Amino acid sequence: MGKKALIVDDSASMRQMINFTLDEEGWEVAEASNGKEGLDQLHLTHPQLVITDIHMPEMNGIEFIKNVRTASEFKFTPIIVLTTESEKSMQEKGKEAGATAWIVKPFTPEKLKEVVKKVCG
Amino acid sequence: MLEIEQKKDNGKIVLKLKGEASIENAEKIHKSFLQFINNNETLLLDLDEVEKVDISFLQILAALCKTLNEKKGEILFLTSLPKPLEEALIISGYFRYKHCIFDHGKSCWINEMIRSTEGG
Amino acid sequence: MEISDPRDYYIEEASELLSEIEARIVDLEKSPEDYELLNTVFRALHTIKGSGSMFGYDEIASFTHEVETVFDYLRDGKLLINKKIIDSTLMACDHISVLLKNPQNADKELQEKLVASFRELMSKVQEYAPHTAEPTPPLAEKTQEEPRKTYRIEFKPGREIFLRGIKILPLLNELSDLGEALIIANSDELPNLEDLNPEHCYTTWTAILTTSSGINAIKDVFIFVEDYSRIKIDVIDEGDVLGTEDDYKKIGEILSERGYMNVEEINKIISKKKLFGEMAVEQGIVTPDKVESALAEQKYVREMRKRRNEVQTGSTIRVKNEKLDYLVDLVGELVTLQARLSGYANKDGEAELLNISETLEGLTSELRETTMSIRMVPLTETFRSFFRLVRDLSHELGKNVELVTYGAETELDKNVIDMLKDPLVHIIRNSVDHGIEHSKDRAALGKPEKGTITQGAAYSGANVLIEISDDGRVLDPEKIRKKGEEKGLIKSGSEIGEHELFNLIFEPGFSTSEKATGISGRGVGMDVVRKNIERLRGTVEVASEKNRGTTITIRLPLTLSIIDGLLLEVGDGKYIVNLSDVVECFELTGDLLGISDNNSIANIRGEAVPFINLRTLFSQQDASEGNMQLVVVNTEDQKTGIAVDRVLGQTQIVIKPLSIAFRNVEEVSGSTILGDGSIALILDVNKITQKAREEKTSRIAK
Repeated sequence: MGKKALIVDDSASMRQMINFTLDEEGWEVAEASNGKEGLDQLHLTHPQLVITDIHMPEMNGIEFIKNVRTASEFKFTPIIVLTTESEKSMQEKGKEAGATAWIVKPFTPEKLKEVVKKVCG
Repeated sequence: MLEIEQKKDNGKIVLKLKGEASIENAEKIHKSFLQFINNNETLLLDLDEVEKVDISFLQILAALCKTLNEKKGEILFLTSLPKPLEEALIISGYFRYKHCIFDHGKSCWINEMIRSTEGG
Repeated sequence: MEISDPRDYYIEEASELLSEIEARIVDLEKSPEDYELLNTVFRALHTIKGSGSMFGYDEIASFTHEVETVFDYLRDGKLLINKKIIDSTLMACDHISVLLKNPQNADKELQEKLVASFRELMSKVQEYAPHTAEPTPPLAEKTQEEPRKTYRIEFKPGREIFLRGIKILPLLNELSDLGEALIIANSDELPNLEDLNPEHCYTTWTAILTTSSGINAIKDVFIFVEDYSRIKIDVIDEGDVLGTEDDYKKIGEILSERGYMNVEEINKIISKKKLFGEMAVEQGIVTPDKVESALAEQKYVREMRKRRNEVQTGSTIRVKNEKLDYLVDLVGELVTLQARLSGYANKDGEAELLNISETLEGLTSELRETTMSIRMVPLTETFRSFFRLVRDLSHELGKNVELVTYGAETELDKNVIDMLKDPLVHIIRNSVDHGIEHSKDRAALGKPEKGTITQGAAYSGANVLIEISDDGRVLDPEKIRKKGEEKGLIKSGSEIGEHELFNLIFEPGFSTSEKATGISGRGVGMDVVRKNIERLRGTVEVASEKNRGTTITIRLPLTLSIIDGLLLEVGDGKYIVNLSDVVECFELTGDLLGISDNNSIANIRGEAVPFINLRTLFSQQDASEGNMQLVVVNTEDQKTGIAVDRVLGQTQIVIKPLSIAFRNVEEVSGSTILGDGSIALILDVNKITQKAREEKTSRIAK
């Protein structure tokens, strides 16, 4: 069974970069551009890894993470949150909401692979 | 995904786990094991088709081992040590000195497994 | 999936976001307190900044940061929107657009002015601290190489750690990958099955890790769990301290250091004069698990120290390489001189002179062997350095590769080892790069996800064999044939065995492309590898077989310069074979040739041994008539005969490089000057064996 990941980010270029990187690592990738779409995709694709941005329209990343964590199916699913250097507080908020790990933008594909490996093995 | 099959073999209960023995299914595995820790019970385990093992499963197995040991029950395994379990035992440090973590002698199924794999 | 340049993607996306910002700003003029509008603008700016920094638009990222900050405060109500903000934002949008599409036309002055005006706005907000251009964190954080130390890491995850999506096995794996590790699980706190919450973590871990990666690399392993766990890291052995004792702390010390016992409890047990750990458990002070874990630590460190001390002590002195080289040269000259003396003494026949000559020969031989052995070094260091190489490379390529070693204790001349390093690096690099597949591809092929590269060495007669094999992609004979034909290395349609075909990858010009991929990738730079190995009088070959993977075998002579040889004569030519390759010698009589009708296979005790006639090989016209001698050599369990006129006897020789005249003769690997000043050619037994086999098969085919 293939590994599935869900990327939630309103930036198409970010999604593309992450998608491409994970694809190389053998992940099957689903995308969503905000938290709401993210939740839809979540229940549609049942991913084993979720990567989400914070600032997004409709439903932001923090709300999204909370929603993922409370769904019993995804109690244990690794969630990686994308933050920026200038927003240390977001890292904390992400953790409070239930995020597993974080990556600070800007990051390289290698860094992404490294964190994904750390989190998923 | 995890399937647990239960059948009787010569009056003994056989549990077969198929799929991911990981945290997502920990509750399910725990529940099914709980039925077999009565006194003097022998439980046969078939883990040959287990594909994924994590710490939660090792903990359940170790707790089962410990509990059955106290109640003079017994677990026997039906197959040789499956690869994912072996790997998890090694990485996690549960496979210490090639002994079961509880080191309680002959009735331990981990020790049995080690013997069976070493014997070819 | 067609992947275009992500930068194009970004330009398109940022342009769209800029026009969205412009539209919203106009709306904002009408409803200045609309939170959603402010939030939308903030998010758009945030994305332009964040993605900009990702795709190398640093200037856009830092400039947009200024505007974003203003909208962050607007959103929080700490600042109120006004016409000035709206105007500046619109100007900023135009400026970003220029930076995006024609950065060379960007108006620097305007940019500074805009930044100043945004900062001025911000200065009115109390808590604002100007964003002093923080140094952006370097993208690739290189872990610093530090002296090897041994650490004890105690890791106690929080009970509910699994509920954060944290997985422990990958983490322990990562820790092990940092060096040599001993990981011990402690399940003291694990309850009975009835009381177990299967979703909780009851296990704690102690890891003993020897690594040169440094403490930060260790901390980095735990970065995502440190908030929910107790982690304690102690240095328990400083690898650089020259300890003369193998011993390590007593169990009681370890237990108290870890906080499992106090001094009073320890003393109480010591007074009982029994095995400490046993007593501690008996008295219920610590659990068996904890004692076992402490014992493991003790055993680990003791073993490590012992190993280290074995390397460091044993009373050694350091000698400069040049001095050794000079010594070897001198021994070489002595050997030549001794051979001259021996020749003279034999001719002269005077008993005393013969006696002196023989004694000198024995001494010279011993001196030679001792000198050579000084320069012999095990391959351990070389092989060890490749673990790092494989780790870094596979990391970089996102592959899962394990490096397995055997025979690292095999010794070779230090100069050979030094010169061997580059070719080996190249071969291993090729294996990781082009051989081992990505995990998912491997899984699809039904291979284990983790690829394995094996590096090994072994003695084989007078040679050392070094093998690098991997279980990755195998060579495709069809593709190599095609390429070989393209490059004119073989005639199209020519019949050529798989072995020969594969070895085309060592031909110069087989693969010249730097960016070679797939099958040709294996060949990149292999011609250089072969050249370097041949410089060491060695050979290199590749074998590749489905299900068995690809193996590159390097064969090297044990020593560089002086060997025991068997001197042979054909016509007026003299030849040397390495004595350690020789099995036996025979008179080549009709009996031996019984089964052969073409003088190329000898029957030795019922075994068909192919042989090469040196008369034919070196076209010695004036060869003497009569029976020849057959010298049987053995390489890799294959016996081959060499037919010569006469076997002259044993001699020590100093190997000299070949003169140009013989460079093209494959069967000759070097030359030497004999005691009487004449030259003898050193035969390459492997090449001769190969040739004899080929002739045998081609005859059988006919």
